[in-house]
Amino acid sequence: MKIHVNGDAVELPEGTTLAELLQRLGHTPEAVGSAVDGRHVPRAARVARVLADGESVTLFQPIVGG
Amino acid sequence: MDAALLNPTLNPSAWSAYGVTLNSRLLLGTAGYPSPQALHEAIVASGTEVVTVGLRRVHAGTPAGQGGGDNGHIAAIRSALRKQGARLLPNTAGCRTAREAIELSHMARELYDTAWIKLEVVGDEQTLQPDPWELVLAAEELVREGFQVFPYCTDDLVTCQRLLDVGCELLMPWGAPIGSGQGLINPWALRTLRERLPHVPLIVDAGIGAPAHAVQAMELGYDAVLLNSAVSQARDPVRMAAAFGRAVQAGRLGFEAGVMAPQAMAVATTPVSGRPFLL
Repeated sequence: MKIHVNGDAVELPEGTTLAELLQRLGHTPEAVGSAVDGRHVPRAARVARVLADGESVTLFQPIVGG
Repeated sequence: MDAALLNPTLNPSAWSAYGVTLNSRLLLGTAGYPSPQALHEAIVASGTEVVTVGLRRVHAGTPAGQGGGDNGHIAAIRSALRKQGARLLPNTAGCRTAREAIELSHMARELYDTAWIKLEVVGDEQTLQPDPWELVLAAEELVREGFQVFPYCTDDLVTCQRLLDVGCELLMPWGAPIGSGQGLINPWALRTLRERLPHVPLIVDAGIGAPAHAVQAMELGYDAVLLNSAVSQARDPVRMAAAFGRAVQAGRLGFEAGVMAPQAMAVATTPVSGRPFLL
């Protein structure tokens, strides 16, 4: 299946969870925030959140701000 | 030696945001500093107890937690916070709708481990003016979900009242557009807010460019100011941070002391009895 991660297309096996995607991308789970199709997915819910073809994953990190 | 430093009774009073007592009335942004070291030193020099931070999408191929593309600034913030016991205030910069701001707020709460959120929902690209309708919608839901909302709003009294109606306990009206450094472009509106909402913590957020602007806000009776570019874009951010820390103290002390009423004509100060010579 194909999903988008921060705008980039990524091919994943069917049934991949959000937690598995983060691991595959090399992210430390507590270092990023995650959303699927614009909806926040809490850290604790990533393991059970199975991704579907065409979904869009957005990951956020802390930065400076005003 | 500064007399105020020697005599604590000559320091400005403390204030409170969502039940947290704060001695500093300066909230400091962390963007745009020339280096992490300058940022760290500016936070310390300002004496601030609240610093703002943001969130952004992870750049493709950049694992977070390994620098994450912020060049060490977040680490500098955390280090400075530890040094002076300051708190983080994450923002929702970049959001254009209530839905975006709500989702980002949830992420901020998770990543920064705080219920505080500086709610920004922008409605115009040139002025970065807050969208009052989306702002109130977002604030209402966030309050319902347990957030403690610091809404970045205009100085419109009715919008401010609506934000209070939905559960915001403080307000952050702009002084001028973000990053413009114009100061308080509508003192009448800010004064009106202060007079109409005497018991609500009010923070002038955005537009402050010089320490004199911060003094003006404090002399109007505002509880605090939030600024970023005025410090980060200064030739010497650390010295400017110190300048703002003192300006805020001076302005607040002036307000608490009671600024004299202006007079239309001169009023002689030296208590002489008429002219010195009757020639």
